[in-house]
Amino acid sequence: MNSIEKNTEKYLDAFRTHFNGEAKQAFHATREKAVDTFSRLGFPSTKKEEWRFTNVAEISRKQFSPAGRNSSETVSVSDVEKFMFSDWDGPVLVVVNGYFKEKLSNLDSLSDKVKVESLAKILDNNDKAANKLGQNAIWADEAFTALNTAFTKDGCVITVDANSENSKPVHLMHISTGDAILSSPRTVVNINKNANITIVESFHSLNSKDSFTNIVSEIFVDENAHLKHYKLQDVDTNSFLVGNCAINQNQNSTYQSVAMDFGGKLVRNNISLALNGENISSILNGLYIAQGEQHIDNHTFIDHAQPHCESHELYRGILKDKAKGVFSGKILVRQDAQKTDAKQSNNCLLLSEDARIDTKPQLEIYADDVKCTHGATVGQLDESALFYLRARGVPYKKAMSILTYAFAEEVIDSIKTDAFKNKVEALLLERLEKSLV
Amino acid sequence: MLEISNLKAAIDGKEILKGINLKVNPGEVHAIMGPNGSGKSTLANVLAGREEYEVLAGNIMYNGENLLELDPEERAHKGIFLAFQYPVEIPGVSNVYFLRTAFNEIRKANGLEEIDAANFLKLIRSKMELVEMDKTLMNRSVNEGFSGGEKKRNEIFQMAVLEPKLSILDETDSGLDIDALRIVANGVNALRNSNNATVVVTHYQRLLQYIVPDFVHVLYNGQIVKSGGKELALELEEKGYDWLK
Repeated sequence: MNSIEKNTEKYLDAFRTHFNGEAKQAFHATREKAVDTFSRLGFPSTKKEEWRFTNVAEISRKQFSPAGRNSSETVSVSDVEKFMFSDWDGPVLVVVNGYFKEKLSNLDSLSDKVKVESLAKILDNNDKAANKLGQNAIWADEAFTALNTAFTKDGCVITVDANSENSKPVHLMHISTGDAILSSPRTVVNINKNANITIVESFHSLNSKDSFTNIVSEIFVDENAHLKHYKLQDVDTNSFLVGNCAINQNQNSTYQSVAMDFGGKLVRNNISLALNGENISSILNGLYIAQGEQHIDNHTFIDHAQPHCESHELYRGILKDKAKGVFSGKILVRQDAQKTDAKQSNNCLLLSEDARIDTKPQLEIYADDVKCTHGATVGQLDESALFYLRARGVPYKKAMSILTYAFAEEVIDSIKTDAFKNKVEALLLERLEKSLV
Repeated sequence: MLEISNLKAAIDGKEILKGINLKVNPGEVHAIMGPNGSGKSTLANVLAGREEYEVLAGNIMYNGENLLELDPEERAHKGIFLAFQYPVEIPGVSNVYFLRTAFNEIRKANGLEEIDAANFLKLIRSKMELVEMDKTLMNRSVNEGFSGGEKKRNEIFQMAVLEPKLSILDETDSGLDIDALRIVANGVNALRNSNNATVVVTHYQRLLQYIVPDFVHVLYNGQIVKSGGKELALELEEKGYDWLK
């Protein structure tokens, strides 16, 4: 197949015109390799096992134009206000169409132990920090990561100094704006030894139509460091979003991800976690809510390479109308990873007959002294609980709403930052009241 | 208050109730006794509006209204309360939130103002004492991990808070030890007055030593085959159900 059949030709053309000054950056050689790789791989088809349940033909057929820096200039401070969490007193970093906007950001409360830089600056300076790009997010056989690597110009680089504790949580806000724009932000997070922090990422649309955000995040959690990583995805239901998040953990570290997916037309989240030390604890929780014709796909991969580590996964989905959900959770326990404790569960609530979930747990275990469990359930609301509530006077719709909320609560409860938790609860309640049940 | 005439009902296509007639007036306590499979629980569930049960014939008038036309929640709004034989566990919904929602929905439906969380807590304190309800159960999920006795006490506690006009106790005594039985019965007795009525559905006479009925009805094979005063319960205890066949 040539690049025209693979729908990659237009990106090759765009690649030639998309860069000006950036072509001088040392990183540009990597971009050139990445665009070649992307052109060779093409968009994944549903014949590929990892993409069996998610058809990206709509993305590949559409004509997106890579976002230039100019496209990010239309967003004002008051636009950003709309997406702030109330009672949030930490720093807010704003990225528009993939470009870090220092002027829209609020860095006043940023601790001096936490450094925020624009990736563009790092690349311009050929800073050694740029060498880390691609270390975690391998693009050799991952088309979307290759596409991001080819087109990324900017994003946020967050570095937390060793031994720094009690820094205020950081809100990293992504906004996409404009029509048929491809945004390619790259986020890099380094949590150094003995440090701990919470980072909340949020994704929003502003006057945008058919936008496509293709984000790659690379996260390093060093020895005895602790990162809580929360995410709220609330983009318009005409948006496409593909996220590849690669996390690398060293010994005695903890990483907790709680990902809320409420929006998007077609969403694919890949989280891949490499546990490269002993006594690591990792938690991946997620809640996805979809209706209409939304499609939300969560793929997680946990690589247990060392002994005495634990990973817990809890994903819950609520699907209505013709919405589709996909959950694929792969856990690899390598031969050295004795005493691994891995738990995975995915529960999905189908609120209509046409909603659909494809769920695929995969355990690949090469060590003999491990504890690994997985479970998946798909179902409707418990009829007897519904009747119990109604028999006490709670009207049908409200009873549905209470039970649906209760189903989601275990995931929301794992959020430990109140301002963010409140935001998520409010969004869920609003959704329940307006359209979900 | 309640008048059931020629009620026939089925579940899964199988006719269970084969023509029930029963009249309950305010202030009365009726016991419905009968062996397993006689239709006791079916009757209780049909009164509460459980949709799995199909009403084939007959009607139920409740305070001048056709009960069968009302949804379960509407029946609750009008003062009907079913104490479940098997109270349902609802993970993720706290007991106190659940009960306050029910309480306020009933108030709303009756044109009364809703009550806030703080005032609600005050209001339920004395009711908790009535059934010796452990405070810590209030913030736990509805019935989740409750013992059998705690679940049944929770039913009577809810009844005490919601103050229904017509309470139907479906095998409330099953699975209770003698202390729990006494607590539950004391609760029911304390709530009795001349404006409300209680229908006690039970297999054994034991509960009726504590909740003394005005009338006892024997349900057998989907029909009430005998009615009488409280002494009928003792007779049943002595002779069993076989002599009625």
